[in-house]
Amino acid sequence: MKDSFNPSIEPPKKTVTLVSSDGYDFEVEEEVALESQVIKDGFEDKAVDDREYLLFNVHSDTLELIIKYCEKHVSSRKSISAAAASSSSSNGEEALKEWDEHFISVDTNTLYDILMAADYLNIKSLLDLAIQKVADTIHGRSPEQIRKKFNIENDSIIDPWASE
Amino acid sequence: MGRPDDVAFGLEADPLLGLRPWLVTQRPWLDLYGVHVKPVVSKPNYDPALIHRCLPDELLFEIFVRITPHSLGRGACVCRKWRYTIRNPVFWRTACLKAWQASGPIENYKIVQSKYEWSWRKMWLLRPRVRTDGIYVSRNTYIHVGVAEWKITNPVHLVCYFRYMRFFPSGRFFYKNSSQIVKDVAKSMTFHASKADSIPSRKREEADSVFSGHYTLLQDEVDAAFLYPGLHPTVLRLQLRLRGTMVGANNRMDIISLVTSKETHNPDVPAVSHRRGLNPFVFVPFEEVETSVLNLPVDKMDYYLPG
Repeated sequence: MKDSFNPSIEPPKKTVTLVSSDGYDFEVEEEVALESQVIKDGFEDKAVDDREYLLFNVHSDTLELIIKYCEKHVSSRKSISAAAASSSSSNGEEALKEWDEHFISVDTNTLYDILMAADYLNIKSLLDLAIQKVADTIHGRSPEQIRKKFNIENDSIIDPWASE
Repeated sequence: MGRPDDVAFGLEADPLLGLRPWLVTQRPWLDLYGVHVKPVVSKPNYDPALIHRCLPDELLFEIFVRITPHSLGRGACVCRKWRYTIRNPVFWRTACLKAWQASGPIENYKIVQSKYEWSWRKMWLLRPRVRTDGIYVSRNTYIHVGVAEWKITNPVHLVCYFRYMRFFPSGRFFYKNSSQIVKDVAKSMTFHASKADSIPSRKREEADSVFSGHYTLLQDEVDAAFLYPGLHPTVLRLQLRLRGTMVGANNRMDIISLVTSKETHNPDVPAVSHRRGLNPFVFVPFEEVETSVLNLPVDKMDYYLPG
């Protein structure tokens, strides 16, 4: 808020404060925060001083990752559109996809945390990415392998396909 | 009156409350049958699966939206929670409408209502469908008598060739006649699937001798036809019947007839009905392409029974 009182050469970047469930503040740029549909809805109605969001079920570790993801996507979207405007060929899309792939290669616990947070904040692309990652784990495995992979107890009493 | 049994039992578990004399309804008649009604002892509410502890049911649903019907079927066998989630008709309706998209959604709704009691899942299992997640392979062998040379008097060659068919839900299919084994061909058939729009089709056919045509599915009968281009264009028409080695598998196709006819308007040129190389098509899903027995060379497997 101090910046707004002393006009510097660059216009001050508008920021939004995100508060994680364990009480850490994260100051992010406005357009990064707007990646989240939940924040976007009703963003304009909120007073400028009041742009603080208490995310009561996102842990600071997860929030850090989410912000990293959003920042990357905002910046690469800019560079892609810049490349498209100057009609120079770039493989920005592919690079981003690769980055996503690398980003989502985390351990299962973190993956579920990201999934939950993306659902809570309604970040469509990240949600898709995380869900696809889980779906890929299921694909092409036998039931026994799936149980082992997810540590699921076999509580079936009948064979599902034999029932009817 | 007293409290129901289960409340009383639940309280007994608590050491402090259990001491107080709760009024319990006596049901002595149950003892006559040797039935002692006890509330189900619920296990400590702890699921060993991380995925169940972390994710709510609607996210589990979102995950299942993204997997193929075949994997869904496997997923249903994992545990009761998954099975219950996968019973949701939404998944099966999507799968059905995609698989039989050629007949149109209205027709599909009519069929599911009249024949399958509104159960999309039943329709998925019981109604014959062409599988699109792999290729159909027909392995044929014939004996070719060689030329008698002066030491060996009667050489005989066993020749093996394949017919390949890859179907798409849109009503198109690819056909290839080749002596190459499954794993070599599968790659070229999938490659076309992804690049189908970018390369002109005529050029592709020439490059790989993969022909594309259109098929129709009526009950369990598939009628497929395509054109051999060339100086004398020839139409090849296949009539096939779908069946499966188990319910809902749709992994075999019998060839009812295979007819070639010259694309002329001359009625004197007869259509040729082929009698050789009509072994049933066997379905090989893409994940089994590398491991399928059909990859075995002819000296390892001289005869193959599709079953």
